[in-house]
Amino acid sequence: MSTRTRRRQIQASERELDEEDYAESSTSTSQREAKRSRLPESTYDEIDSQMTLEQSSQDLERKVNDTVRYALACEHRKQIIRRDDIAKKVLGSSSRAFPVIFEKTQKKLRHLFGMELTELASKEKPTAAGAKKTQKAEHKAATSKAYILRNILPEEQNDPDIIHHTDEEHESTGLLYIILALLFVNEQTMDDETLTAHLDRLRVPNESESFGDRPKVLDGYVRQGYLARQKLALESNQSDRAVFQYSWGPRSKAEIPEQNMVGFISSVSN
Amino acid sequence: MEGENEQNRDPQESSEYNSSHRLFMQAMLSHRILEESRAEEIYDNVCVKTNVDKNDFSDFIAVINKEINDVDLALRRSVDQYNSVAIIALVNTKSDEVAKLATTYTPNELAYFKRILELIITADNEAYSISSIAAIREGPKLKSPISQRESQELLAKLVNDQWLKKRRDGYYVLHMRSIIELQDYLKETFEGDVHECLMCMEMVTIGERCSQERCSVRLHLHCAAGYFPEDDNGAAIKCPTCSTSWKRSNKFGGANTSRRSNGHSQTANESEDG
Repeated sequence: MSTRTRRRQIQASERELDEEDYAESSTSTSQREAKRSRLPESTYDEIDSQMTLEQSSQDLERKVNDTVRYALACEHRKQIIRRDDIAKKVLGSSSRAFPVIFEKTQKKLRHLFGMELTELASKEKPTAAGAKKTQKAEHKAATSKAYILRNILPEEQNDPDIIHHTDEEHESTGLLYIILALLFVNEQTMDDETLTAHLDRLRVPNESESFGDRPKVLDGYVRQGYLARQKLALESNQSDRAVFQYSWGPRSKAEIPEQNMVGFISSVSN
Repeated sequence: MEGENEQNRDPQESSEYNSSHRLFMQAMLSHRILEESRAEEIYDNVCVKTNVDKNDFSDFIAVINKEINDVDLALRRSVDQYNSVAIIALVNTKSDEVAKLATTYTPNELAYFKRILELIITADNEAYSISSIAAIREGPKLKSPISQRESQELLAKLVNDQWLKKRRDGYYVLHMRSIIELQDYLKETFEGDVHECLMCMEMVTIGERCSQERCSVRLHLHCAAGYFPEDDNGAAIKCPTCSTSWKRSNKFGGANTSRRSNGHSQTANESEDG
């Protein structure tokens, strides 16, 4: 090693002592460049890695905040939040950091809003017809990688004087509860014809001011994950048209505890 | 992270973000915009439900804003330019891809909304309104057209979501939510057509204006009422900028019941939804 290089190294380490908090200070690029020209290679690397660390922790914060906003936006639309969508739409190149970002997002959602992401139960196919396929699927898909944003504040705080629901929300929830109750007492499933007959008997018209187009309403529940709909396989289908079977969707399972449903049903029958 | 420690701290400490702030945020997420008096009532209820001591409302809001700033949200206080009532709104402070997702609208619907915004902002004589008929006819003219019926349904949704307001005379105007949340977008996009109130520097689409055509001074009705002496409706008052004598009756944006523009009467300023 030449004396010149050694001298430079000594100078550099002295400077390092003076500027220990270098990485934290907001040094401008030009200053940084100026220092670079005087420091040996090894020190560059050190500073570089410190800079990257700082940058990546800021970047991480940013991604966490974006994920929080994404989750709020999806929930506002009652759209199921998928891990793939978070990775694609929010995380981009840092999608490998998902587990870290997810944990931090959860912490933030709980802290700021009293909400958390709840993973939905993975798809089950309740019919005998689907049984063969399901067995395979069950082994494979232990997690659904799909979430909803759930309120975790104590239930007594969900007061209509505090949390606002639009009339449409009330109407939609009312009809949904009736359908869920019908499914519940019918051992969790019902084919579309029976369900339609029930709705007819309950005078939920096919098209109405408050509920809109009935098939559309049902489609909406399915899309939001409140209802699951499955086409019955031909062998178990005795009619000449396609038969669909309805059951509780993953969102209903996550949002509505069974005893609440039992309470709802018994409040009607009493 | 900060949040970790906060959970363990005394929840009664009013300057810390606690369960009362959390529940109030849920309320604001569900309301989006509401009168401040109503927000204070909700705050009372929140304190009872969460068993937290009541604090000064402004301090309470300040604590929330400090925390939600991270996620580009803010509680913003303003005055409803249509009825001079104090309001508070939860707004996105950053309009990026993610914020765009916060809307419940499809790209097509957004294109329609943007077009309606444009027509409202650029309406002749600073009317800042569009008739129902004109609005409904815009749908089929879009690049990806929507039918008149769809336009009508969409308008109803926009009114329902508090982006637009329908006046009694059937004209659509900007709802305060648009004014507060889309202000930056509107100012940027329609520079020259968007005026700021000289008093409060907030965007104004209904109020009083200087009689001098070239003078840009506009005032909210409530700001003008505060600035000009009560019973001095005459020659004594002057424009704060160009000193032209100020006529209190010189109004824009449908504030003046007698003014007519575009051949359409601009009377009732009250909205249908109240």
